[in-house]
Amino acid sequence: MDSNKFTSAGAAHQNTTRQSNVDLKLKLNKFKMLPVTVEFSGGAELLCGNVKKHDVDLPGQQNKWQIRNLLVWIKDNLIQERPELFLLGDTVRPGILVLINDADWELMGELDYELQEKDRIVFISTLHGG
Amino acid sequence: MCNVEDQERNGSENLPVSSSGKSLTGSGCVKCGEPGVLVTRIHDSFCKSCFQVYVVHKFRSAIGKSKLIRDGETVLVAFSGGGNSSALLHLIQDGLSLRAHKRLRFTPTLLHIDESCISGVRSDELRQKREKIRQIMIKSGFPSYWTQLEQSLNIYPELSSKSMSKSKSSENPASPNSLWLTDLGQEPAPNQVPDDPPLEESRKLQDLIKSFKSSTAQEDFIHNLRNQLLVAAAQQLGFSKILTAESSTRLAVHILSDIAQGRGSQVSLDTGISDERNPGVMFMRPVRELNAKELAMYNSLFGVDTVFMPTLTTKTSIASSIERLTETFVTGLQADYPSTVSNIVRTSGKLGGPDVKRTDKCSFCQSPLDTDVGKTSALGAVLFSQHMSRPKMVDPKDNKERVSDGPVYSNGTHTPIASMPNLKEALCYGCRLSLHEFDGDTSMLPTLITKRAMWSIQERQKDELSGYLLEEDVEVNGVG
Repeated sequence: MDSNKFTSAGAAHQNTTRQSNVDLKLKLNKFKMLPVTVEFSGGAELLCGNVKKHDVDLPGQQNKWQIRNLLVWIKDNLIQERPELFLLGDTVRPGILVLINDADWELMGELDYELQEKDRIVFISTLHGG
Repeated sequence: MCNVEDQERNGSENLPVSSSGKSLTGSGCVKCGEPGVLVTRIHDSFCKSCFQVYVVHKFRSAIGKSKLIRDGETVLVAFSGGGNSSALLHLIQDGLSLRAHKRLRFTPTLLHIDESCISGVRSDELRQKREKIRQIMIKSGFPSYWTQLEQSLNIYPELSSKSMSKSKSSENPASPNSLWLTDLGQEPAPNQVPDDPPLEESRKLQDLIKSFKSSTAQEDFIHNLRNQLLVAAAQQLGFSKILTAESSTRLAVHILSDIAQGRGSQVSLDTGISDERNPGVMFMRPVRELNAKELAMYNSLFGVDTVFMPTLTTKTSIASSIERLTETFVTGLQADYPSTVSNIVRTSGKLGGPDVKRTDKCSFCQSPLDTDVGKTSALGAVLFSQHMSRPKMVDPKDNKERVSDGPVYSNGTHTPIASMPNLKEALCYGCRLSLHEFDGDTSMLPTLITKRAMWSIQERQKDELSGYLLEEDVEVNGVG
């Protein structure tokens, strides 16, 4: 029993190392930086130091990047002042359009959309005065 | 109308495709089934080409239905460089191009009003933006003019036709009614960046705007000042129609904020397809059936250049003015109920407008006066309580003396200065409310307002006098 257990444990051990190698690779893949382009216009750029186009590398994370995470990341990293003029709760302020690769985000799943490499996310303020 | 829409909405809610926002993911164009690029109206998705057809149709039908523009007419297009007017310019260009199915039959001229002084700063960044706007205007190939909001201080009002016939003799023949308007096509140096407005005039305007205590009043004042400048420029250039690019979202905001700011009687003028309150010049709103999202999507999909110019409320809190707060309210509601904007706009479309042919008009916004109501009205009550709370400020004797000096001023030798209570007599309720926030000297106000107010007060006095002095009518005219 014991020896049996040992061998099986050894096999298990070998298996886990192989598994963990694969896992590590997967993890490395998964944790890879995600390059995307974030653009602001219609006055929304004023909140981000007046820069319209931001080529950013999103840090790798275990779960996939969704728009809802991106918004938080933008709030922490790109927006320099008055975040309440950009975000309302966990979504964007009404009146700010979100385009994912030139398409309305309402067609892409809104907050649940999973970001892909080189996606282009555009925020357009339609509000008077930005 | 409402029923039809309700049915439509209920009907679409029963469909599995659009029962909730999420299931719209990946839904195809409602017209052709191609992959959609945007959602508009109530959960309808469109592909790019069907969306273009939709937008162009809305624009063309607004112009066609109104039957206001005649064949071959020249119209002035107010072009701010912002999203809405850029979309309007693109739609006009598209409609005039040879590939258009039915070409538009009017000839546009662009006019830009430089309002960069409002922010109070002069920076290279603003200069670059101005240059970009100028480039867009020149690139459009249409005749283009450039003026500055400061010019609104120099508008010399023309006497209305009624008073013109009576007091022609005393009118200064060389009325300096010429505004500074640069023809961009004729400019000697085509690469020159439009200059900053003259510093002194900018200061004057900034001081004037700052004399209004609330940003609500400031916005309202600037809005009316801009409209009057557009009208004056159109008159100088010989246009009788001005196209402006208010989206339905913007109009819905205006409808509600107008009501909140005592301009209820002007709602239909402020938001209808046409606005004829200014004599000789008509405003038209050809994109009023498209909302802010549709216009922004149009710009984005068809690569239309826009230039964002900061306004008074840029980067301020969402409750900094009534207009901004109303906008927050409307766009917030629109996000959850996509028919909000169209419901507000359509409801206001059913309102009847005041008679614009009337001669007693507000000396500032030119709306028919809404203040001729009985003593037992809300306005009467407001006036009474104002009178009671500040009895010393309103000294009737003093006012009467000043007014009786009026005719001397109209010789053009003095700047007419009316006291505030007198001035308010000649204004509509909305403009009165705005000027109530004004704590500067009346001499700071644009000549446009004071001059017109003086004339209107004189008119009224003449009318009153003529009731008593029928025989001395000739003499009264001689003085006036």
